[in-house]
Amino acid sequence: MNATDFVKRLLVGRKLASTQLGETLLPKRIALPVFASDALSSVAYAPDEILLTLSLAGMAGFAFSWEIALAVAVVMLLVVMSYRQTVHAYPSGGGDYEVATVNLGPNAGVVVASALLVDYVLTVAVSVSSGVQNAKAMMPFLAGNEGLWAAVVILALMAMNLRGVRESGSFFAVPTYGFLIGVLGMTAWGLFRILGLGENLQAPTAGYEVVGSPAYEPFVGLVMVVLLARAFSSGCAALTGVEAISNGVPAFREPKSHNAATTLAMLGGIAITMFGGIILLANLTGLKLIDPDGHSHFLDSGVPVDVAHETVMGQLARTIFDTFPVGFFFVITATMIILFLAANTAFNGFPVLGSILARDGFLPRMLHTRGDRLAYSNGIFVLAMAAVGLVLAFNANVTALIQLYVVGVFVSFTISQFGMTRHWTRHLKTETDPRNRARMLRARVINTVGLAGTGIVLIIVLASKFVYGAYQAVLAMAVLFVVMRSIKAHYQKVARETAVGAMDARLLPSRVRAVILVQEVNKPTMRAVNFARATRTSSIEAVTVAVDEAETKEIVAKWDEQGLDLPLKVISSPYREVTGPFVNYVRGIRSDNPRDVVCVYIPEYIVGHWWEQLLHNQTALIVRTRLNFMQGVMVTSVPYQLASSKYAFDRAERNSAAAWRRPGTGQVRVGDFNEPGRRE
Amino acid sequence: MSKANPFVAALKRWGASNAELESQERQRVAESSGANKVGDLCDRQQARLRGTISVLTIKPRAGMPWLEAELSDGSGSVTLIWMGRREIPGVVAGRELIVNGRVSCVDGGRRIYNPHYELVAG
Repeated sequence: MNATDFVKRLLVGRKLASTQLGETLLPKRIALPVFASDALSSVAYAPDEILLTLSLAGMAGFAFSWEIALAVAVVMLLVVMSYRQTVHAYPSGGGDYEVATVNLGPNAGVVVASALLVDYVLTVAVSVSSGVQNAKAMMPFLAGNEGLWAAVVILALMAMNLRGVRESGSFFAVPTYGFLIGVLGMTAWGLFRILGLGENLQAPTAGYEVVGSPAYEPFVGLVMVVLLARAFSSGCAALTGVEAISNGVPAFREPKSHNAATTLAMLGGIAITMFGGIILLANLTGLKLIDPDGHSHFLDSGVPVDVAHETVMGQLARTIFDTFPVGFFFVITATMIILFLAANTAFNGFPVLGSILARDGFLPRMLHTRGDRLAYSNGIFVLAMAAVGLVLAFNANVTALIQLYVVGVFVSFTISQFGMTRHWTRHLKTETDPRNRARMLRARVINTVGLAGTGIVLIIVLASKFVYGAYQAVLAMAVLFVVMRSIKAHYQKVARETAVGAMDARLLPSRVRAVILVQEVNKPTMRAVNFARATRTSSIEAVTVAVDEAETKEIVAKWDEQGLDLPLKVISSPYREVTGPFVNYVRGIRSDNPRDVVCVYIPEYIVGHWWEQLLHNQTALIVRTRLNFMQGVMVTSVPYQLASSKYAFDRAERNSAAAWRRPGTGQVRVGDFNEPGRRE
Repeated sequence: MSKANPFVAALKRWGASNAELESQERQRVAESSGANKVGDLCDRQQARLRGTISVLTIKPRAGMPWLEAELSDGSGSVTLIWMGRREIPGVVAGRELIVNGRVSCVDGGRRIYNPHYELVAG
C-alpha cells in the first residue's frame, strides 16, 4: 500500500459492498440532525438578517420584528404541512423534482431541479460562510481570509461525506442536539429570568440608538412595505432545508413515509419554537443590529459610535448567561458547529438529486454512481467544488450571499405545491372510497393553501431581492436549466442514433481481412501474428512501412527467416512517417467492398510506469485513433506484458486510485416512480 | 485545366493537399518521359509506365516464388508481377521505375506480368 492509497483509505474508509446499502439507512433520531441541521441552523442567521434589514429604518423598524417572525413562522407551518403530504405521496426520494415531473411535465421538473441544485450550493456557501464569520469572534486570525477558510471547511465536509451518509449522520447528531439544547435552554432560561424572576436583562446594544438610511426616513406607506418585504424575504432563509427531508425519504428506516413525516413535524415545531424564542428574547432585551454595509449606524446619546458587529446569538448568549460563562461558550460553539453541519444537509440532498437527474438523463451519467462507500461520490465532489468557487468569489460574505439565497427554494416549493394539487385532483377522479376521498380532499386543501402561501412569498422574495443579487441566482438557474435540457437532448439523440434497427442484428460482414502492423520482428509482433491467425479471418497479411531503407531491409530479412506463411507488404513512405501511409493502405483495401471488415492488429507493450508509456506505443496510439474514425475497421491491440508491467499490475491489484470516481452501475436507493405518459 | 485565371490556379495550388500535389507531380514526370497514364490503360494494351512502388509484397518462402509490387503514377496503380523471382535487387518500396509490358485486367485490377523494367536513379 503506497501513500496515496493509505490517505484515501484513511479518509474514505474501507469499501462497502452493494448489499451493505441497507446498513446506511437512518433511524429518526439520526435522521433529524442529518436532514434538519440546515433548517435549524438558519435560526442562527435568519433573525440577524431580519433585524439588520429593519435597522435601515432606524428605531422604528425594530418594532416590526415580531410581526415578521410571525409571518415567517406561518409560512414555515404551511410548508411543513404541505411537505407532510408530499412525503406520503412520493416516498421515492425524488422530492419536488419528482412531484413536478410527474404532475406538470419534465420541463417543470427541470426548473425545480435547477432551482434546488443552485440552492444546495448556496446552502453550503451561506452556512459555511456564516460559520466562519461566527468563528472569527473566537479566532481573530481568520479575518481577511474568510473565503479561504470557508473553502477548507467545505473540503473537510466533502471528505466526511465521501465516507458515507450514516457515519456522518451519527457524527453530526451530537452537535445538532447540542445546538438544540443550547438554544432552547437559553430561550427558556432567558424567559424565566425576565418573566419569572422579573430581572431586567439588557443586550449589549440595548443602550444605543439606531439611525437608519435616509432612503427609509419617513417610515410609512410604500417605503415601509418595501423594507418589511425585504426583511421578510431575508427571514425566509429559515425555511431552506425543509425540502431536504422530502428528498431524503429513502434514507429513512421503514415505515419510510411515516418516519419522514414525523421527522418533518418535529423539525417544524423545533424550528418555529427556536426562531420565535430568539426574536422574542431579542425584543425583550432590546437587542439591536446595524447593517454591516454601513447604511445604518449606532448612536450613543446622539454621537455616532463604532461597535464591533456581534451576532444575535452571541449577544443573547452573553446577556442571558452573564453569570454562567459555560453556557455562553456552549451556545456559541454549538452555533458555529451547526452552521458547518448545515452545509452537510446539502451534501446529503445534492448528490441524491443529482443522481436522480442523471438517471433521467439530465446530467452526466457519472453522477448516478455510488462510490466505494455507497455515497454518490461524484455528486459530492461537484457540490463541494461549486461551493468552494462561490465562497472564494464572495470571500464568504454572508450578507452578499444571502441575497442569492431562498429564491431557488421558493421556486421549488411553489412548483411542487402546484404539482401536488394536480396530483390530488388526478387521483380524486378515479378514487371512489369515500374515506380516501375525504383524506385526499383534505390534502388538496392543505397543498392549495401551501401553494398560495409559497407563491406569494416567492413573488415577495423576487420583488424585494432581485436587484440586490437574486438575479444572479435566477441566472444560474436559467443556465442550469438550459444545460440540463441540452444534456437530455444529447442523450436522446445518441440513443436514437444507436437504436437497433430491423436489419442490424443479422447483418454479418461478408469477409474479414486481417492486417498486422509490423514495426519490428520480435515477440510482440509474433504474438500479434499468432492471434490474427487464430481468429481465422478470410485473408491475412502483415504490413510494414518503409520509413528507413536499412531498417526495412532488416525487417524483411528477419521476416523471411521466420518462414511464416503469410505475406509481408512493404509500403513506401515518401515522407518518413508510419501513420499516413498505413492508414491510406487500410483505407485502400477497405474501399473494395462496403460489407468487408478490416481487422487491424497492433502489438502493444504493457509497461509498468508512466514514463515508459512515453517511450513506447506512440505510433500504435496515433494509428488507433486515426483508424477509429474509419467505417468498417476494427482495431485490436495485442498486449505484450513487459517485465516492468508487473509494477502496474501490482498497483491495479492493490487498489485503483481513481475507482471511487469511476462511472459504473451503482445500485440506486431511490425507487422507480410511475408517471403517466412518460417512461423510458 | 483552365487557364482563365492564373491567380485562381495559384490559389488552388497553394491550397492543394500534399497528396494532390504529389500526384500531379508524378503525372507530370510520367507524361514528360513519354509514358502512358495508368488511369487510361485498357485490357491487352502494350504500355510504358513510369511511377513509384507504393506497396511491395514479400510472399512466403513456401509455395511459388512470386514477386508482386504495386506501381502508382499519380493517376492510378497497377500490379507488377514477376514470376519465379522472390526478390529483385533495387525493386524496393518507394523506388521509381519505368516498366514496359502488356496490361491485363483481372478482378477489376490492372496487372502486368513479367514486365521489362528500368530502375530510375533517385
